[in-house]
Amino acid sequence: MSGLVTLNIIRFAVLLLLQVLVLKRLSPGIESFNYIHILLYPLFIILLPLRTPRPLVLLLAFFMGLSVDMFYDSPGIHAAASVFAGYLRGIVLYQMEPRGGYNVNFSPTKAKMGLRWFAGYASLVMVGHLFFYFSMEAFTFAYLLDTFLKTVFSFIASMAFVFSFMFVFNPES
Amino acid sequence: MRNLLEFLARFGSFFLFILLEAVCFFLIVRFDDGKNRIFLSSTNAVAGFALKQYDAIADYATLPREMKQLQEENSRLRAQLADNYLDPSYTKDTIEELVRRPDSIYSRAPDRDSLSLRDTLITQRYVYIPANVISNSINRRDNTLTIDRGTSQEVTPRMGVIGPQGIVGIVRTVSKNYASVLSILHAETSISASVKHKGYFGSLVWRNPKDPGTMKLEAIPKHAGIAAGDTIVTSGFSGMFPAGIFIGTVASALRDTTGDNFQDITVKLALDMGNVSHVYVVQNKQLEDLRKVQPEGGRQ
Repeated sequence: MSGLVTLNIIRFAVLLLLQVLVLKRLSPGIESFNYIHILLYPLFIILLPLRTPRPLVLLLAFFMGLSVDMFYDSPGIHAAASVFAGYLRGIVLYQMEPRGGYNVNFSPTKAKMGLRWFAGYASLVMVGHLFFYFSMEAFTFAYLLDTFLKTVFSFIASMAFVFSFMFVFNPES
Repeated sequence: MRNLLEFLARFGSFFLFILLEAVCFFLIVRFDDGKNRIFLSSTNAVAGFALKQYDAIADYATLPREMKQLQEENSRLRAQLADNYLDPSYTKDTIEELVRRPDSIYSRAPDRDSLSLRDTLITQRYVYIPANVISNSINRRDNTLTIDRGTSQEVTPRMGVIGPQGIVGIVRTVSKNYASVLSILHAETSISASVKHKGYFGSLVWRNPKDPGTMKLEAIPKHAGIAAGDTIVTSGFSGMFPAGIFIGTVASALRDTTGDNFQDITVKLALDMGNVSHVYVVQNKQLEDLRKVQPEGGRQ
């Protein structure tokens, strides 16, 4: 139990630093094609253990988002998207519950739940996160096409990083 | 009471979700639009330290490019050494001394009297004070830089700052050894720029905060016929920058449909604002004279 807490604290720190120190510099990347923002930190929310209480997921997501906001100088935007992803996680988990139910001691990882299940689950949470993030960033529905395009391109780039992370470390929990 | 508890257990996370989103919305609305100074100042103490440490490491990655830029600049400056030109600020005496030097090119001049001519047309007007950028940002709506030159190096507010391939900003406030520079990537900055060989001039402003590589050139009439690829240089009207300093090229020039008489011109900056570390502060020796006839400071 305490090992699980430590693991998630380390994962929080590593993903946060990776996001704000490395990926932030990659993201604006190509000039005048400002559609790709690589967001890896939602992986923290995705990988929280299955038995984490939903309010705790929301609070952790909120703090993760707020920490990222500090470095992006965008108060509230990442936090709003993270909280949304945290809430969406609960719904997606409920909808994707296998026939026998979950083993509550598991974490929703590729190693425990299988690649297909993980790919579907992580994609849904990531899409929700990115769409909410870009909607908040624009703060209007006037740029709906822009938001949509950004979501699509950023999703592809971000998922590439998520899968790289999963294949390199292949965490069990 | 029991019903209430059951209700909360069932929908508690939903209410927490709504509550947290409300907090986020409050943050976004309250601190958006450049009013986020309180939030930023408290958080940057934490974030700033981490970023500074990282910068110290990451700077090594840009060293080769920086060195190349400096080399290019050095070679350009070497071509302008005093020996290559007759410096107009020399008096008759110094010229004669120059002529006496055996290795001087002037000693070969057939008519020495012609050298004593003092050309008032090309008196030295601008002096460049080298400076290092010690802090910079490009990803905010209003960006500023800090340089390590201040009043003790004769830097005063409203002096121009140029980099190796273009203009960087305008000095805003100075302390003894430091100066804060309004970056060209700032909502309040407006630089008087002209189109080379076409003569039209307008104000260069930063309208798209997402793109630190481009600026807009405004107030150029439609009939000017500016096309993509045209060169944009400083106009020199303000006296802050010498005329003719290369700023960038026109990326696109659209005839916008809003019905006004101006072209929508996007300028691609030659200088990568994210990668400036060595700059020059432009000191105008004749600024006092200029201000006598242009008391309000003119255009930037």
